[in-house]
Amino acid sequence: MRYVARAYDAVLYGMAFIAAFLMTAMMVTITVDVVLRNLGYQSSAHFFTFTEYALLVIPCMGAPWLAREKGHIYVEILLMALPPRLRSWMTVLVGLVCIGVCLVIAWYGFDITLRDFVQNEKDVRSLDMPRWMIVGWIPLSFLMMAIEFARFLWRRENFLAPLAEVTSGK
Amino acid sequence: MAWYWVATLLFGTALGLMMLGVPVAIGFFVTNVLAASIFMGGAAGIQQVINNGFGAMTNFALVPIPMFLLMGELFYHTGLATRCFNAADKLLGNIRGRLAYVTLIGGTAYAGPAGSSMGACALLGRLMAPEMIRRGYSKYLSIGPIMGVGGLAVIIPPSALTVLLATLGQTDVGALLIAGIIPGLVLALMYGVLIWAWILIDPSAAPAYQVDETPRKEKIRLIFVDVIPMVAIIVFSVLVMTVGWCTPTEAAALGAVSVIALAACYGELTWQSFVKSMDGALRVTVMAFLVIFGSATFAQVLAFTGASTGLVNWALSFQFAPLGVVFVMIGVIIFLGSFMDPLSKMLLTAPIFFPLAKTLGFDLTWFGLIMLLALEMGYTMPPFGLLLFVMKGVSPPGTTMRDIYLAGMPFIGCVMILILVIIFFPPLATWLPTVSH
Repeated sequence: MRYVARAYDAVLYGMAFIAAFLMTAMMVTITVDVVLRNLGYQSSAHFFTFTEYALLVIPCMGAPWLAREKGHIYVEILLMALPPRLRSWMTVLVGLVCIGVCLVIAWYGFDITLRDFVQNEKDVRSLDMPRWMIVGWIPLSFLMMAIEFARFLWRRENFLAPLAEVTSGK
Repeated sequence: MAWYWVATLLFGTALGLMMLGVPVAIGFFVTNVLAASIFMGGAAGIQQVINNGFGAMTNFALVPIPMFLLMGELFYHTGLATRCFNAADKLLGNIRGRLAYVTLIGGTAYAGPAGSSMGACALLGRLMAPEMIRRGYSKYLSIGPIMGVGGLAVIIPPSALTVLLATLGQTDVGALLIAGIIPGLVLALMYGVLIWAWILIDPSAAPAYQVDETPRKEKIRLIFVDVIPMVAIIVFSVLVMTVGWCTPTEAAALGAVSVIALAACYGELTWQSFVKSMDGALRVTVMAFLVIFGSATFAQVLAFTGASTGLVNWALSFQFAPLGVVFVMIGVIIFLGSFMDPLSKMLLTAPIFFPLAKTLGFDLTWFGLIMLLALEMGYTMPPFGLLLFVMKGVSPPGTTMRDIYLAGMPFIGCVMILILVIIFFPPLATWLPTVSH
């Protein structure tokens, strides 16, 4: 079980690392594109397509890590005003809502991915990208987010950090 | 179902869940899944939510958001922002209220690209407020400028929130970014005059104390080494957009690369600072993009069910003068500011407010700028503005909510005056974008 947990953690942090790498790659790609264009060279239309796909893949890859890091923004005004016991119950309820909706999106997302794969659907931009290769990150991300929220509940840990900490990344 | 029930269900569910403490992105997802399964045909509707998210996210116009965030984080973690702080501190010398001005200048440099006045508030509240109080500044003058930073940061480009609002309102991103320049400078001037007048009326608010005089040679060095290059990056990012060399998206990426290059020139670019910057930028990017993903279907369900049109027609049926409608919209934004951050407020209100503004024939750049300022003002508006509570959390011990209200009011007053000036004198916002086109 410990090995499974370790492997899962490696995937979670690995995905966050790839998300950060994609963000850097996006910055470099756009800069190269601008420089090439201004030097009079023809730049590749694939740069543009890569950037657009990265915009979806980055949040999908980073979302489970963000849940682990308690980085989701939320409205704390009512929650913080509740007595500790009630707040604790409310946090459990919020956790269950999070798990529920993440599983629903993961389920239907998987359905779409599978259909796109079977029907060989293409997303037509500068290249004909198999759609499942991009959409597939959505169910994986939401499934892992559901696992993260469930993990917090299982460990009886509050997954909502004080808002000032969430927003300042501390 | 009548449009008003649809609107009540959608806004009620989203607001209700958020009030209960459900993360904003998840709140939007639940609302959309619920609405899509009721109004868009069950399972097919939920699949539509996912497909809409796919379409909304793979949109090139969103690229400046991570790039500006990265720029802000790099600026902070490589120590360039600290250099700005220190340079401003030394250059202002023995000016009364020096630290209040430094807070405004440094805070705007940090909060602008980062797009998070809450993050800036938390940072400055911990960093500057204790130092000012130690130097004998009044509580009010120690806290006030920190509350004022957000208003300035949200309109002075580069600003990630501006990009998002322009995308949501389907208006020109570059125009909205450029539109903020003159009002931003006006607001900075107003803040400057406010602090100056404050100290003039109440000299005890910022006691004079001797700081070591910086030699003139050192001051010139600071200007050329620590000020001009940083300002040049901001000006460069704006200029390349204004003259049309690049799109706002490209300008944002170039801005981030420029900060890296500058940090490398100073020898401040370490692996650790880069990793920390990536960590910070990734956090906010993922959080913001998930909220955008979650709300992608929100506007569509509103439009599909006729709730958008219904709400717009309902608002118009009161036959307010067009400017009256603007004031009502500002009022709604300020009310929502009591419990929501600008990003969430923007995603909830833009699908209704922009069509309404369009119907009334408003210039969307002008309207967008007013909305941005109102979003920030609502955030700091007593008694319940969310930022007030963040400020309370990071203020020195003994600071009461009343202190925070009183400290913030003059700065909120400046933003309010600026909004009124823009409403009654639109060229302040629209002249520069028109000229640059």
